[in-house]
Order: sequence, then C-alpha cells, then structure tokens
Amino acid sequence: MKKYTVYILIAAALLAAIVLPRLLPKPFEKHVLILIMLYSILGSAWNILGGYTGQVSLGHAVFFGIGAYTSSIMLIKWGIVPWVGMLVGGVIATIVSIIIGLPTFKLRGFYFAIATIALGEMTRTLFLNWEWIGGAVGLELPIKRGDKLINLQFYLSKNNYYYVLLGIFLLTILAIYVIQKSKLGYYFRAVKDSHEAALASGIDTARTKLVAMGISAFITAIAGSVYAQYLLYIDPYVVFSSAISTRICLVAILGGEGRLFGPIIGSSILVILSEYSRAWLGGGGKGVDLIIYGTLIVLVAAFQPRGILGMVEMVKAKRQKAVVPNA
Amino acid sequence: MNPFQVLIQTIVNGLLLGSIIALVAIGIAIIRGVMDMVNFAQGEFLMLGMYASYWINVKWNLDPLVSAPITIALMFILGVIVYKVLIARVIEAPMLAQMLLTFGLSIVLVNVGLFLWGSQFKTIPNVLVKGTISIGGVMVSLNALVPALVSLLMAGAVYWFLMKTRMGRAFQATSMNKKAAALVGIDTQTVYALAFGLAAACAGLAGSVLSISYYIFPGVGSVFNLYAFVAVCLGGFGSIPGAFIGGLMIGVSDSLAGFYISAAFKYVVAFGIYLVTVIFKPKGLFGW
Amino acid sequence: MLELIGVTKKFGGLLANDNVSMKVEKGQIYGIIGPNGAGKTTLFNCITGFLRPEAGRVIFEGRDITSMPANLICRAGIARTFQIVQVLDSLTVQENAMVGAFCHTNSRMVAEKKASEALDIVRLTDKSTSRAGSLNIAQKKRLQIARALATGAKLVMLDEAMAGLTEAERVQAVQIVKDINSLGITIVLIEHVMEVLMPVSDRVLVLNFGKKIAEDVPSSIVNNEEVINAYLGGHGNA
Ligand SMILES: Nc1ncnc2c1ncn2[C@@H]1O[C@H](COP(=O)(O)OP(=O)(O)OP(=O)(O)O)[C@@H](O)[C@H]1O
Ligand SMILES: [Mg+2]
Repeated sequence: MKKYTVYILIAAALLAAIVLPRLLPKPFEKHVLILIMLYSILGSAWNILGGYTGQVSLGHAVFFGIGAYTSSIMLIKWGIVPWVGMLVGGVIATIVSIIIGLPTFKLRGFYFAIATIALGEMTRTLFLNWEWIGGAVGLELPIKRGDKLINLQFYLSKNNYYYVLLGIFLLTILAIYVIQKSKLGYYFRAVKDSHEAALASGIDTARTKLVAMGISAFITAIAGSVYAQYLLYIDPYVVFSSAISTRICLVAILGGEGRLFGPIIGSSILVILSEYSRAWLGGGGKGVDLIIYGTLIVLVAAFQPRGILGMVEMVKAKRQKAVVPNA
Repeated sequence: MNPFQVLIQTIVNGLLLGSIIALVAIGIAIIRGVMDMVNFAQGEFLMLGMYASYWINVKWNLDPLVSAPITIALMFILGVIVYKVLIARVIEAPMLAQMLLTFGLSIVLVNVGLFLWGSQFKTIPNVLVKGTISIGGVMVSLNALVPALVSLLMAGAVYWFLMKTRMGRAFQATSMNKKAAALVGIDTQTVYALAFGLAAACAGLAGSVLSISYYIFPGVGSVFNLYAFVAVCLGGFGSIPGAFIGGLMIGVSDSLAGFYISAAFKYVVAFGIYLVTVIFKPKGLFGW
Repeated sequence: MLELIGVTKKFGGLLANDNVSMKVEKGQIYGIIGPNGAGKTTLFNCITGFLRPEAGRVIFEGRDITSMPANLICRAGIARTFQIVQVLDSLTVQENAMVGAFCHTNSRMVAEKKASEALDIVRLTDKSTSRAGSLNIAQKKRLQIARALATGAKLVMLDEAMAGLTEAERVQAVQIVKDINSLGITIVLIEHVMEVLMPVSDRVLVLNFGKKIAEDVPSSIVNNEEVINAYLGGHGNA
C-alpha cells in the first residue's frame, strides 16, 4: 500500500469512529459502542505484555480493579476529581505489577498464566474483605450533574463516555506504535521469541518484561477508572472478576495477538456477539448467549489459531503466491 | 474434642477433599505430560460426571458408586471425541490457541449444563454409603471416605497403567520425544486421543464419587478446576505422583484455612502456597 | 584478551568442565574441539554467563566476568551463537540483526545500518526482509553470527557454526569466519570435526570428558598422542 492510501484509510476510520455514535441513537447501541472501546483499550494493553512480550496474563482484572477502586475511593473519600484518581490508579497498578512481576517472571508459560489466575483470585478476596473500601457491598460513586468533562460523568449524552474512551484508545495505539518502532519494541519481541537469543543480544530480559507489564498495567488501570465512572457503582465481583481477565485476553487473541489493530477487531466481534446474544437470548438464565460466545471462541481457536488478522494475512499471502507465476 | 483432635479432624477432612482434587489434577497432569498442553476444561468433565451419576440415579435408581464404571466409560468416550473433533486441531498450534480452545470449551460445557439442567443445586437422595465412623476419636463420614479410597485406587491404577503396561510406556515415549516415538511405530494420534480420554475418565470418576456428598450444579467444575491446576503446578506439571500429592496438599490447606482462618480466605491460602512454592521452585515440588 | 583459570562445572555427579584453563589472545581464531559430550558447549555457557561455574574464574580484558549475567557479558563485548540455533522466528532477518545492534545504541537508524553491515558479512543481505523462521538451517546459523556481530562484540564465540552443513555451505562459512577475523574481531570456535577446525585456527584446545587434554598450535595438536587416542580410541572418528 502507498503511504497516502494508509493516511486516507486512517483518516476515514477516524471519521467513522467519531460519527458512529451519532448514527446509533438507541441507549443499548451506545452501551455496546462504549464496551467495544473499553475492551479495545484493555486488549491493546494486554497485547503489550501477552502479545508482544509473550507473557500470558489471565489476571489483568487486578489492574483494572485497582484503577476502578483508586479513582472511586479518592473521589468518595477526598473529593478528588477522577482524572487525577485515574493517574494515581495507573501509578499504583504499575507499582503492583512490578511487585507481582519480580517474583513471577521466572515462571515460564503455563506456570506464569496460573500464577496470574491465582493472584486475580487472591486480590478479589482481599477486596471483598476490606471494609474500608466497601468490602462486598461495593462503592457507589457520588453523582455530579452537569455533564462537566472534569467530573467524568455524563447524563445528557452517553456519547461523551465513548469519546473519552476513544481518546484513550487513540493515545494507547499511538504509544504502542511508537514502542513498536523503538528499541523497546524490538526487545519485547525478542524476549517472546527466544529467551536465550535475547540474553545473548545483551537484553535484560527480566527488566524488559517488567517494563511491558508496567505499561500494560498502567493502561488497564486507566480503563478501569473510566469504567467505574460509567457504571457509578463498583464492587469486587464486578471489577475483579475472572471473567474480565479472560475476556481481556480473548479480545487480544481473537483479533490476532501482537498486532496493533487486533484488539479493536477482537473487541468488536466479541462485544457485539456477547451483548446482542445476551439481549436476545440471555433471559431466564439459560446461558444460550454464553454457549454461542464459547462456541465462537472454540471455533476461532480450532480453525484460526492465529486470530482474525492472522487469517487475513494468510489469505493475502496466498493471493500473492497465486500471482507470482504470471508476473 | 481437644484442640489436637480438632486439628487432626480438620486435616483428615482436607485429605478426603484433596483426594478428589487429586483425581482431577491427575487428568490435567496426564494431558500436560503426554501432549504438552493444558486443558482448562478439566473441571467441566467432573461436572458432567456428576450429572451423569445423577441422571443414572434418577432413571434407573443406581447408586453413583455402582454406576461409576458407566460414568467412566461415558466420559472416556466423550474425551476421545473432544480430542478427535477439537483438540487434535490445535495440538501443534501455539499455546495461546490451545488455551483459548479449552477456555471456550469450558464456557460451552458449563452453559450447556445450565441450559439442559438449570442452575439449581441437585443432590442424590438415597446413597448407599452414609453415616460416620470414628477412628481414634476422629469422625469420618463414610460418604467422604469411600470416594477418597476410590480416588486413591484410581490414581494407583493410572500410575500402574503408565508405568507397567505396553500402552503406558507408549504414553511415556510420546511424552519424551514425539518424533522418536513415531519412528518406533507408535501412533501418536491414538496415544493423544487415549490420553485425553483417560484424563476425562479420571475427572468423570471424581465427579461420580463426589456426587454422593456434594451439590451438583453447572458451575461446580470451576472451583475444582482452579484447585486442580494449582495442585498440578505445585506437584510439577506432568508428574502423576506430584499431582496427587499436590491435590492432597491443596485439600488440607483448604480445610485448615477454612477452619482456622475463615472460609473467605481459603483460596488466598491455597494460592499463596502455590505462589510461594513456584517462586522458590519454578517447576513445582517434583517437576523436572 | 580472554582468560579462563580452573573453570569447573558440575551437573549432579557429572564433571562437565574439570578445571579448564585457557588463554585467547586478541585477533586470534581459537578452536575448541572434543568428542560429543566433552563439555564444549558447557564451557561456552560458563564463559557467557548462561551457567555459573562452581569454581574458577573468567577474565575478559583484565576484568573478572565470572558469573556476570549473560546480558551484561554481551554488553562487555562477548557475543555468542548457539549450537541449537536460536533465531527470532517471527522477526525478519534484518530485525534479528537489529536486535543485536541495539546492544550499544538506542537509535533505530544506527541499528539498521549496523544490521545491514553484519548481514553483508554473513551474505544474507538478499534475505533481509524474509522471516527468520523461513530460513534453512545454514542461513539460520549465519543469521546467528550476524546478530552476534551486530552487537559490536570484540570477541565472537561460535558453537558448531559448520556442523550439519553441505560442503559448499561449509566452505562459505569458513570464509565468513576468516572475513570476520580480518576485521580485527577475535573468534572462539567450537567444532568437533578436526578437518574443519584445524586449518583456520591459530590455537586449539582439546577437551575430553570435561578435561583439557591439550592446548597448542594445530600442527602439534594433530600429532599429540592423547588427542589421537581420544579421537580414535573409543569414540571413533567423531
Ligand atoms: N543442563 C544440563 N544438565 C545436566 N547435564 C548437562 C547439561 N548440559 C550438558 N550436560 C551434560 O554435560 C556433558 C557435556 O555437555 P556439552 O553439551 O557441554 O558437550 P559438548 O562438548 O558441547 O557436546 P556436543 O559435541 O554433543 O555438542 C554431557 O554429558 C551432557 O549430557
Ligand atoms: Mg555442544
């Protein structure tokens, strides 16, 4: 593709992303859009650690929840605006991620994945039993009318949540793009492909993984804060659930792990599918929506292990091969 | 009871629970050992085993312990089918694809259970073994003791199968070096299918014996799944005796923590033990 | 330039390296030879920080680097390749070399330039946009060398860079080793085929069952009785 075609495409996609919520008037549609953006951010954040650096985390809800709780607590107890709480939450999540990462990065593959599940479960239990932050009852955020951006609460137009998330998503993508092109990005991928080769190239593999984990945790926590502002109520079951951890990971893998635009594709498919199937079939606790959700995951894994973007790439490669003999 | 007896009692209760966890864990260890992949849907085989026992009991009034061979056979067949239809496709794929598939499978199975049988807890009303016996002042309920013994027996049988039979040695050869095993004429696809079936059968049996003393509901597998995973990692992935001992340890920790600390912190303690262990021994207690 | 004093490494009861000493001078091509399982790779691992020796010292340019982390040893100027090839499969050939080049620069432009130079030397320039995973074994071995070179190392250690290659590929590999050496880079080579190693080496160390049994110029080595026994007695022509 020529350079300017890429620019035109990006501009068109951006325009579409901005206009989209205005074309979808129903509250439910807006809700779906907001969730798509939310999970695009989360999947992108996960990708930094899991997709590029190869450390598969199944406990990212830990950082999500820390973000949600930090900004909420700071708002409730001290009246600090959520934007500040968001950054503080990001920093706390980063610190926690380093504390988690230091001992666990020695673990390879499954051992690491299971350790992150364990940490996720432990964190949820901790928050459930921590009275000062609301325990199992959870927290209700104080209502701030007036739709001021500074309060990060919108009643007249839910679109604004979407635009806030879109902004964060664009920043995330930009950050990942810059990292990808830099030394750090090369180091991430080197660590994923071969630990030995990375060491022999002078890479401090442990530090590289910690950096990936820290960035990933920071962004995840930011998304958690916005989510709390959107729901206006949080409890440990909502923000520390293992279902969130799993879904974050699925979004990234479904789109194609380690690809810049994988998460937004994965998130669109997964969120639309699960939200609409829940709306249509989810009544009565029969679980039909989740059967569909699970089946989709199984099918993608069994027939397209490299994710949707991996599939697109393969089709392209085949086409090119088919063209070569004539050229 | 004096405090010491209470302690013993708690440990015994833990061992009884642990033996069920151990059986699920052994299934995970077999799959991991033979085909180097992780099955996140193992707990769901336990759930299906429980429902199989339940429905056999409802339809033909057979006790779960009596119908256990049927359950084992059913789960074995299901395991082989799942392998052939799904798992075989990702056996060479990256770890993420394998994880994704078994995750998805677990979601599907839980919700199929929910769809077919509803979310309410079921129990099996009239079971053969009930009541308690007292061994040196420690009360042991028979409907926990018998399952534990059955688990132990099955674990022993699996171990014997792997160590002493021709097929078992083919399993081992495949787990050590797939290509070499294929060269000496071992059909690795068959070995994989059988291993998966065997793992499912182990979980099915665990479900079958668990069903006489525990609630039956679609989500029951997830608790055991997590515990079994921790047990397997604790023992060292791929090691059968390791998985068994890991299972017992988790059972005991669950019981002790539940009694002496608080039921809410059972998981924290079990996972804490896991984390501390792997941090100091990254390949588990008996891993290589 | 590189000096080992009494390096000893045990695996359980097995003495993989038994009190090995050696000295490599700047600008040399230094060969290490020995039958299968003699402990050559283990010695590499001890030098490059992938294993910690139980006893002995490794001195590089007057600095004690024993048990330093592998990545710091690379930064100090020793780069290595692996007998079981380790390339970054999902990266392109050029990117593989760039990962090495980033050792001493943060700039992508500089890394690109260094990587291209290294690929030139190992004759992989025409493959630079291919995925490393798609290369054949000979090309992968050369790519490892390129990555090592791109780190700007003063000492490059090659573990069986020529084993398993065709005759033509081997001739090319020998030429590459000579080219690298002519740039003033010191080389330590492991091979277990004498005919390959002897002609290019300035000095040769012979290991057998973890022990040093000889260290000398190639012409003396080929006449050394213990060496002949190690190679002809018991092990056949390894
Ligand atoms: N990580 C390890 N753990 C246990 N034993 C090992 C380990 N690495 C090597 N060994 C043993 O140490 C001895 C020396 O092995 P090493 O790989 O250094 O030999 P080598 O000279 O490189 O042989 P080759 O020519 O086959 O490459 C062998 O007996 C080997 O089995
Ligand atoms: Mg070797």
